[in-house]
Amino acid sequence: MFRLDHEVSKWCSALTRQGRFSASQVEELTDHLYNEVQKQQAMGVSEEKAFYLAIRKLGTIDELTVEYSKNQRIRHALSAIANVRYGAQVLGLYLMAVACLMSYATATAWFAYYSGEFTPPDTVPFVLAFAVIATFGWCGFKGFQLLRGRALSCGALLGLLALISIQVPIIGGLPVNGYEFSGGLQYAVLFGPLEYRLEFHPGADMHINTAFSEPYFGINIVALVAGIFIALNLIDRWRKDEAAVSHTTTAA
Amino acid sequence: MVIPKDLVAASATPIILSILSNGDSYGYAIIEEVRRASSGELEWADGMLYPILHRIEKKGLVSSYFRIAENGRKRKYYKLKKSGKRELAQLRQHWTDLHNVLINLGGEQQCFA
Repeated sequence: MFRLDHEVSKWCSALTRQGRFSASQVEELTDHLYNEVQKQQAMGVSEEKAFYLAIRKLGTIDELTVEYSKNQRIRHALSAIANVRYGAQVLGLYLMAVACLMSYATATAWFAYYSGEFTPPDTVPFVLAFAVIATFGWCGFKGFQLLRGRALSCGALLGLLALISIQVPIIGGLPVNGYEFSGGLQYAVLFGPLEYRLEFHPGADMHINTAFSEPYFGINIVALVAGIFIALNLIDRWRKDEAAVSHTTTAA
Repeated sequence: MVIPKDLVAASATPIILSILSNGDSYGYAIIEEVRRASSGELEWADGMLYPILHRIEKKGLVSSYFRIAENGRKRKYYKLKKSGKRELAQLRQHWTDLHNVLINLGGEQQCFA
């Protein structure tokens, strides 16, 4: 059985998920929708048909998004970097690059293991190579989705955040060992007792230092920025999910 | 005769401001008023109106407020501001000037043929 309020609520949730419409804009469009349904019903059209006619007259969600985004073009251009959506697309490219570089580095290390020319730690067994390539392959796929403007679920964003976060810290020269893991471009800011320096390392790297040296600590700036963008996307996703839930609850 | 899209777009702001000069109104009523005034010749896509309303609101030509409608739902009304009245007077003058240019060039008969 057709329930008008339920269908309108579903339509509003779909609008809200787009992230281009404020709550008051959704309310305004909802009022328009009800007015049109009322008008059609007054002309003898059934409630269900009236709803679909009203939706068609108002335009599809994609068409509405295009119309509404016309007002935001300049602002988007000015805040391209800060904007979560543009950030997501840049992040998508980064994640795809990380996936390619990491898969290449892992595959090379595995071939080295397979050929027997090298010994650990410059080689990795098949299971580890497969796990790393599968994990970063997933990361690259999610990056591709972000690049295409698809919204990722909170779970996927949390997974990506974990993958990127482990690339942020750099610890070296401790008596036991150090830690450094970069799956893509690394721009490291290093602090130690002797010096402060910046280092740029393109490519993937994954190692645990065993050689003793002066202790130093650092941050991989590229991973840090990527992590911040993922966190922004995550917050954005949470807000949209909450808005959709509260809208559905209110309508119900 | 259906009016071409570019003319529809160009005339949207003065038409909205003209409707609001008669009193506060809301999106759906504005669209209905346009249909009635143009006898259906001016076809506005319903979804096109709201971004224009928001744009002219940002420009400071109109203000908006919410009120509970007779059906119990929240409804957003738009109100013409003083700057909007001045803008409307200017736009009306521009359209009159254009109309006069066409009249002077082709005569009234040819212009509206």
